[in-house]
Amino acid sequence: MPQFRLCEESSAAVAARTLGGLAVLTLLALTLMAEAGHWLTGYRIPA
Amino acid sequence: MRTIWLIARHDWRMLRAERTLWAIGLLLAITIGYGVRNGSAWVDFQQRNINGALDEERERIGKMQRDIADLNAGRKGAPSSDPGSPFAAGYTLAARWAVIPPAPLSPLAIGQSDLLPYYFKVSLRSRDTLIGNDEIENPVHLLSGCFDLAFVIIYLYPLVILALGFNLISGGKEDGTLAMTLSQPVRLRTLAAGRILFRGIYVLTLATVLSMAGALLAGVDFSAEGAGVRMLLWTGVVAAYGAFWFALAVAVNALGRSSAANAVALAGAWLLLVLLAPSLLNVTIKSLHPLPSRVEMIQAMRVAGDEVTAQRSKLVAKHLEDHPELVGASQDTMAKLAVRNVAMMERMEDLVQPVLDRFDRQLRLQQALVERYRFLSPAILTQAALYDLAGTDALRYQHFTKRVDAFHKEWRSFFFPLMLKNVKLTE
Repeated sequence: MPQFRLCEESSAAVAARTLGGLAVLTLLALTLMAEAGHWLTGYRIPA
Repeated sequence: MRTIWLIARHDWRMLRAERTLWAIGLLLAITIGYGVRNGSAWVDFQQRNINGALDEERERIGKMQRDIADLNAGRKGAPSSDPGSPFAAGYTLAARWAVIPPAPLSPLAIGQSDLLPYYFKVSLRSRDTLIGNDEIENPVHLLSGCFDLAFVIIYLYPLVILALGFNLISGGKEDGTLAMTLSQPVRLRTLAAGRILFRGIYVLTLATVLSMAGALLAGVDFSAEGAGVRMLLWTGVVAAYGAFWFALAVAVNALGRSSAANAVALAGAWLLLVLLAPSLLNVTIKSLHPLPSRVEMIQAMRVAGDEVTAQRSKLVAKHLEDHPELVGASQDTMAKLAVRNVAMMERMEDLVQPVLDRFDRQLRLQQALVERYRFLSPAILTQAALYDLAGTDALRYQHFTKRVDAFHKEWRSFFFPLMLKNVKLTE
């Protein structure tokens, strides 16, 4: 009689997909941080 | 770099004296603990159901094998009907449970696993009857989702970060300490970096250590295939998501407004990115590609059922026309019944198929849009990644349903020839 087999996706494929999202999040954070750093450079203490 | 560490240490001393750090630590510990407990309870429930189904299957098939042996040996107490008949075996006695077990990290994110079926009883009954095995669950619970670790990370964790970061620079400006600090040979950028460094390490350590502790308590098996890598990636995603919210807090602080204005702006950003953007995307996608309603599906099945019953004789005649090799075999009563069942089932499936196809097509279109626009909000991106890592995303469950479909076809192609030839199962 036939038996049910569930061939699951490999963890490597999941990891590859997650790394894509991770890269986008990191890039977003770094861009924001760099931009904020740029704005802070021009900061002057109020007299 | 030394200056940054010096500022971070100083920041730690300053914040330690306040109650904020401890309150945040306690809040995170309670919510993470509660989230993991909920996730763990759900996975236990799923596992219990799966074990129950598989135990029932083992018992049933064991009994069937014993009955066949008793009948063949002519023992006393053998069943009156033949358990070795392919009809009895294929429809009820040997029916198989097809199950998708919870993935190792499932206790961390319930995801779609409470919405999508995780077990099907596969038999010779038509494909549409597979769908009717739903458990009854409160729809309000399903709509609001469960309070699990992924929920804490996506919704509450940014709030904790914003609570620590909204007055990163503005606070010092308002109480006059910023001007005093900047009179030293230190740049504002370095000061902000030092403060972010300490707060970031604090929140991230709390989130990861508490998640790990929760996962261990929930019984996550880290020795399972890929579990270690997935946990590492989970930590990476949590860190990157946290980094985004810290970066946003610094960027808003850099605009030079007051702490109150920063708090309002950051709360607005949280509302927009975490609540509004996913809901808007959801509504837009559902409006662009609506799924056919379940009522429509049930209606189509009823209409098809009536039509098939009314045309029974015609369908059998047509089936025999299409399969002339069955004409001789179909003289036997059981074989006649088999031909009738096959003909009716095939017609029934043909009639319902357009609705199922439309459902699949719309679902694919919806998923393509989510895939494309998930970058609109870091919350959507993070949620997709966490569900994917926990194995509770829709894709894994759809793959399971496809495998069940293939198995159902395989089951039928195994039993139908036996039914037509009226071959008995002997063991």
